[in-house]
Amino acid sequence: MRSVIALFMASLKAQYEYRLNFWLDTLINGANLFSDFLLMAFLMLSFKEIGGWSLGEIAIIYSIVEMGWGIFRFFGEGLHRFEELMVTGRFDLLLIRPMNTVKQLLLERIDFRRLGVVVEALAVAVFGFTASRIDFGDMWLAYISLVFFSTVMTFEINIILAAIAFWTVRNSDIIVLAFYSTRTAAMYPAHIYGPVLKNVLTFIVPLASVAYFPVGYLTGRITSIIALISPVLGVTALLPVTVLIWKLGLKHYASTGT
Amino acid sequence: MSGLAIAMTSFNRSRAYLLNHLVNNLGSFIFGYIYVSIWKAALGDSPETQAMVTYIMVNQSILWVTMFLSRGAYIPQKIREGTIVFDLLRPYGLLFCSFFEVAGHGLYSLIFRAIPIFLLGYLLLGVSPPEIGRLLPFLLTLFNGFLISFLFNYFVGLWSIKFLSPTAAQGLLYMTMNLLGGAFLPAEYYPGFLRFLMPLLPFACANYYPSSVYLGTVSLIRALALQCFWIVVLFLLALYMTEKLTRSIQVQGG
Repeated sequence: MRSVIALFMASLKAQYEYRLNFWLDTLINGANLFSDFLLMAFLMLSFKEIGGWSLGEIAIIYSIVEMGWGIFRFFGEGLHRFEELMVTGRFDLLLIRPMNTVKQLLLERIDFRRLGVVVEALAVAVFGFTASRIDFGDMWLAYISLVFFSTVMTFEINIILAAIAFWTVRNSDIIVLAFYSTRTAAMYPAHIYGPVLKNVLTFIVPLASVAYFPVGYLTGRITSIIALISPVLGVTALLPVTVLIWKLGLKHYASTGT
Repeated sequence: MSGLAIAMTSFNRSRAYLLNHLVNNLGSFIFGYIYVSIWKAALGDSPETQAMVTYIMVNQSILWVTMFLSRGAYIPQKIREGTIVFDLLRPYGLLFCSFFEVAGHGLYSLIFRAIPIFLLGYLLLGVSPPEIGRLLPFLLTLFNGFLISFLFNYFVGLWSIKFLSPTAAQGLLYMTMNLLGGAFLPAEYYPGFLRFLMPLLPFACANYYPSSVYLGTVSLIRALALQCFWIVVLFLLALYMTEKLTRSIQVQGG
């Protein structure tokens, strides 16, 4: 635990060294993602509904996915930039230390600037609950649980995608294809997409199961009880896959050298 | 001649990552598909839908030429590695060198990124092909859009000369281009005064004007006039700032 705290503090100190840049980056990180939501809001001034969902309701699923992403980037920068470790051969260093490799990756660089994303996601959620007149008093537990599942799933997917680099060395473009695009898709009601993307979001990169399906159930749009328990199903189903692929990757790993 | 040589080198350097970029193109196409789906859900079966699908996918294709250009026109990387000193030694300015380097990459992106994404849109989403008469005007406004985007990226590079880290300026540029470039939302859907302001700003020159000229919803004369005005203003500013900033350059690496 002591080493965990030491690494945490080291990350904070390193980033806070350039104060102006740190605060600017934090602010812009949040604002940048907020601009996507703002564009959606502009669009919905003209249309009121997208696939039967109001802007407030979309804001809630948007926020759940975004918050999972923000928390992941806060801890998961080492995983997110895993390709660098592969290309430079620095992953060797992690293997000789007496600590689990995933844990080391999570502590490699804690990115405090991503708090901007978390604050932005929270602001979108507050807007969502206010605009859709869903009582936050009844929903807060559900919201926090869904954020939890969204975060866990984002971690799982990104561990799998990082593990792909054990075979391919570079993986940043695979991340764009398999995660960035599906993450963006999961921020909007999944039924507006064709069957291929909808099935991908449900069964392959199941981000719809942590936001769209449960929120759809809670707002009365989806009646099947499976929609409510889909976050648990999704996260549990991905867990063995994640562990297996990571372990297989580790076995396959051959250093590129320095 | 030396400019063309720089552009060719940059083109070939980008080509080394062709396979990565083709994978990335699929991701980019899915982004386009997401936005198309949102618009289809909003507009329903109206005659406007087809035009909007084309507008979104044309924009999604040209993003690689008008928005996602090389970060800070390669300058931040050169500052970090210290190789900027070689550029400064050469018998032409930093602006000249950066332009051709980015242009080579831009041409590569047009051929291996924009066109494949557009073709996917054409084959899978029914994007309307360009009308023959509008193809040249579109390419002209696209080139101007590239120039504007290059100049903005160059400013990010200049920022990194002054402040060393480009991340804040880069983030700010993405945010503004995203919000006011019009790639997702054409001017007529902006609320209130933004509807009038957005088409006058330089950010709209990068995406809104080329794709509107493609569709024929904005006149070529208007698009060119506005683009040329901003190119001149930004170019003069870039010249002035280059002169000022390269005098006090700090090299980090080596």
